[in-house]
Amino acid sequence: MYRKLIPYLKPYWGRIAGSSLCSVLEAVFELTIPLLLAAMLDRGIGTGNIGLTLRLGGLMLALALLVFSCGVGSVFLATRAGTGFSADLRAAQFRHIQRFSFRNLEQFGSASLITRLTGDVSAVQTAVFQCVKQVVRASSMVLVAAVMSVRLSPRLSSMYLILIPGLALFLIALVLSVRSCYRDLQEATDGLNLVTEENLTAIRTVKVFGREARQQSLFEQVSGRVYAAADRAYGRSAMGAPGVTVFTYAAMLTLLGWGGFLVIRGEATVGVLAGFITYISQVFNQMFSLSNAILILNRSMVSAQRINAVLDTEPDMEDGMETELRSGSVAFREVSFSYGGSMPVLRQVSFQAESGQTIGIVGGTGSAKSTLVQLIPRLYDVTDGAVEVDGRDVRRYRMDVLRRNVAIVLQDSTLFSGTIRENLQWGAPGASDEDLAEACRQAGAWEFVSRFPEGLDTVLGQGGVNLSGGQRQRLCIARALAGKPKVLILDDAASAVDTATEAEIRRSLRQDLPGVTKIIISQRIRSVRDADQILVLDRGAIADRGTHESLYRSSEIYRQMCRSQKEEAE
Amino acid sequence: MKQKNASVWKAVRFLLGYVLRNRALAVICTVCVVLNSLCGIAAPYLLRPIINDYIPAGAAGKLVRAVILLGGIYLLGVLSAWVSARLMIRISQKTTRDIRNDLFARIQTLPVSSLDGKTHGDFMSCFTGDIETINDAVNTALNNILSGIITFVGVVTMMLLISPLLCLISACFLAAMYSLVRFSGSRSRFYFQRQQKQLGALNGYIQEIISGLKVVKVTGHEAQAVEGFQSHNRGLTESANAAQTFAGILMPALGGTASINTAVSLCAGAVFVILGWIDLGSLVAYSQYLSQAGRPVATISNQWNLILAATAGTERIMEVLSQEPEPVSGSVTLSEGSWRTDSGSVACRGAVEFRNVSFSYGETEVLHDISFTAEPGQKIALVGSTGAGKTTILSLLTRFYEPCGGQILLDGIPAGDIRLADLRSCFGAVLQDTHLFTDTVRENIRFGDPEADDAAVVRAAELASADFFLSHLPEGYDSMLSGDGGNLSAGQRQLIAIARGIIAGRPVLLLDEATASVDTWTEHQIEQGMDRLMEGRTVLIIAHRLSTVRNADCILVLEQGRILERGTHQELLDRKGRYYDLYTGAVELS
Repeated sequence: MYRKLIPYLKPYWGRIAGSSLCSVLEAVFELTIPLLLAAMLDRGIGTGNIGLTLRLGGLMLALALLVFSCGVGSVFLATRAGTGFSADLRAAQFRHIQRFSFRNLEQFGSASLITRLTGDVSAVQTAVFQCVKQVVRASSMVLVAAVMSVRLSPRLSSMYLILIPGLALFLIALVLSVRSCYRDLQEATDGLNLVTEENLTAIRTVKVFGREARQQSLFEQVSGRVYAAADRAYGRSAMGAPGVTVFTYAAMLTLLGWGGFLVIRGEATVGVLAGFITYISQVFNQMFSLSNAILILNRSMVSAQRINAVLDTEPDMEDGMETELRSGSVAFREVSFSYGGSMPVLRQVSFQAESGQTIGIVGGTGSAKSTLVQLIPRLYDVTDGAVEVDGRDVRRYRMDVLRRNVAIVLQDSTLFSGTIRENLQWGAPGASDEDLAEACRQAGAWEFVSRFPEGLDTVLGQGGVNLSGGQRQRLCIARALAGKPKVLILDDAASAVDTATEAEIRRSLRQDLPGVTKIIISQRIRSVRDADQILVLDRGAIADRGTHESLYRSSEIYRQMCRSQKEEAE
Repeated sequence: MKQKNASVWKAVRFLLGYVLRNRALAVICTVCVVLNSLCGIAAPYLLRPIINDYIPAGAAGKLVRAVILLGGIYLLGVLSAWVSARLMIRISQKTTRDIRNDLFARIQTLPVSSLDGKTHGDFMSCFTGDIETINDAVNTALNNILSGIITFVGVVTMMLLISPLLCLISACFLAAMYSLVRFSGSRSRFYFQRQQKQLGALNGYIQEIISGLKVVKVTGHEAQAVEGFQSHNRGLTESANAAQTFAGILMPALGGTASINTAVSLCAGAVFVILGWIDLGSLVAYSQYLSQAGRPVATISNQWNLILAATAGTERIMEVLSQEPEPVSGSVTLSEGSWRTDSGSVACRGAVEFRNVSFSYGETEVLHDISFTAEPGQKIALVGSTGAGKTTILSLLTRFYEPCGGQILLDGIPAGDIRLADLRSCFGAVLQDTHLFTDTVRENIRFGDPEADDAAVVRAAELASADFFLSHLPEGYDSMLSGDGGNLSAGQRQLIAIARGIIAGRPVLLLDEATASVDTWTEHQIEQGMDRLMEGRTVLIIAHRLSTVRNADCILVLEQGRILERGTHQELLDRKGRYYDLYTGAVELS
């Protein structure tokens, strides 16, 4: 899981190596202090030489200061590597997500992408760096302590041959068994969060239908599941420390018994025994932190997996080469489309829109109106057939060229925090104020934008909160027009605009932008009745087509729609 | 400071209340902790004569006995350590489970008004972050602090017995370690706050861009979005460097100080030995105790930080728990279709009356002097701009909010006198934001009536025009809906919600923009089905689309919390007032 993240560590190898070196030195210096201590006790005090004692003491102090500075240095470097690594990882994901197709986006959902960019990255950062630190520190400590104890007594050291593999086996078994427990815990926790979140969002529904008891028992059920999973996971991990202690104590007792007899028989000295005891607990404790590091890494496995899933997702659209797009004629040639399931959403749709024409699209809920128009700027690719703009398959254009020329205003009128100018310039980087004002005028937005004291500099709150729904929609249309597109698609984009203003917008689109192909989806018949061609969609296929008058005569569905909004259509 | 301490203790008492529900476990656990600490202090004591006396003297018998005794103490130590750790996990898990369940139960009973002021994140963080900090604290803090105190006291006593003078030197360093911990704690808190702020800014940016990503793509804004992201990302990296460095430096700094302490104390000790102030054996013992003394200082202060974190979380949870629940009781109850009042029984028909009702949200007046009646069989429509108070009227009726003035009557009985559960059992609702649950379609519809059988579910779906697409789903009514019904279109979700409202079969039906995402044609079909169904029932309907409300018995036009006009569609058109303007599109509803 982590292998794919290793390249992101590359720029920081220097810092990681430096930090590791510091922590190795820290371990070595720390383990040298007991040696100096022994020397001080044996030679300094033994000979009653205060000068030597103080010198050795001074040396110890110097080493202690080195331990201190190496420790600090190690943290300093590791932090800088860690924050850099996580910033890079976040940026890599963010950049990658910018390349996602709509299908990719829906597959993840925005909430889950946000967690992957934030929480998951910090979980991985913590895990990787804790792990590096502990592994380096622990393995160097084990190594140094082992070497020192072998030097003290090769014979006594032979018990490592049994104890170390034994402890290793124990720790591996522990890690393996705890790992699956953590997975269960993670799942249970996700379930708990889901139930809680849903209950909070739907609290009114719960209360109106009086289903509090159901929700409470559902919650207690998942809460109990979390309890059981956590109790098992943490309970098993809690065996680690006592387990290691058992090995340490076993070694101590062996040492005292066996070693004691060796000393009695004159084959070892008390000093060797005392030294050995210090190192034994070091070796075992460090092996324990090694297993801890593995567990930490394991717990963040889910996060690493989720990040990998983002980075591994190839945008499922290939970019074309063509950069020239001269006219806005649009053609659908036997287009079929499905979102991946077996059910086709669009079936055999064909139509032709000449440059400058207006096409109206009407149809019931789920008749795939939005899906149809989203195929033009390649928000999705057709499953079968072809969509053409300016006589060429849309898949042959470079994506930025296509989308600059085919502007679509989506159903949910999303604006971003910033000034009106900044929002409008999204569609047209660097556009002059005159151009933006013109786009606003065409979209019927200038009337209120010019009334703001700050004009184009008016700051919108997040999501454009200080505007009404109709005003937001008009700004979204202006944003699309600012880029001077050749095809303009309005997906029910003026539903909250009052009918008089909407009529005004339609008039100015017709008069001011004669060369722009306009494709308009609307719930209101009135919005499309002047179109050159109206397509009536029914369950993914074109049921009828024609002008308002001809459809009203020939199409039953169309007539029904007109009747259901009769006065409005008149 | 004093006040802060008081609130900390209040939180600790609150937690102890939950912990002590497991009194037996807690007692065993405490005994084990004490045992373990005592074993830790006793073991070096037994170790010393082995090395100093038995081995040099070649006393094999004594050696074997001492090793066995030591083994016994070790065993006791390990066992008690394991038992206490294991029990503590159980206690902390039970504690957090109980708190979690109580918290959820309380949130369920809170009035909607106290939920509306906060974001869901505020409550969610109680369940995730805050509970986690409590778990950490209960799990390790109680254990470690107790054993830390016992060890520290024991070790310091031993050290004092050996040499008070050396103790003085070591104490200076222990004090230094303590202040180091405090200093680094306060610095890192400061930098952490800065980091959190930057993180908030970055998350906000990510949130906005990712949720609006489709617009980013259709406007070709990708490159600029990455640029904006990077500037926030760099800001976070800088502040994270400072925060994490300060937090991370603590451990090596403590280790370093401990090493320096060892060097200085023992060097001084060696000089004392040479000067003949203390003997060599004592110095060796002292060095062992010294290495043990530093750890409790670090552990306790670490644990104290955990406890502080947990009390902050606990305080937030306590605040939620201390909020006043909805008043549920009432003198009037519903049984077998009629209201039981003190003065007799009244049939439950679903007649709604508002008498001069007004409502304010904080300082702002939302509704002013609203009066109307809705009789069974009638359909009353509310139209008006966003913020005109339409949804508030429904919220007052279901008693999500209480009116500030006037009276709301249900079948002539003041709504406030009716037992809350009985009152709500009169309403079926399809609310503005369609919320479905992660469950099958069938269960989602049956949410309206748990007793409904499969045939009733299908019938409700047919009436809501949802049967057509539901029966075409791969698994039909057993299809799982995920993440608030994300795999369906907004219109389809609304149809399921309508079926849920229909199946409940309540005397009063509330429709708040229930068909906003449904096309006019389907809406028309639903309307026809509903008209049959709603005979003899009361319907209150809010709609932005005026074609939806055309055939209502009475349309109330609201503006800024007041009823501007009322009447049937035709009457209102003839008046050529506000409704006429709206209908002809002269003004826009916002």
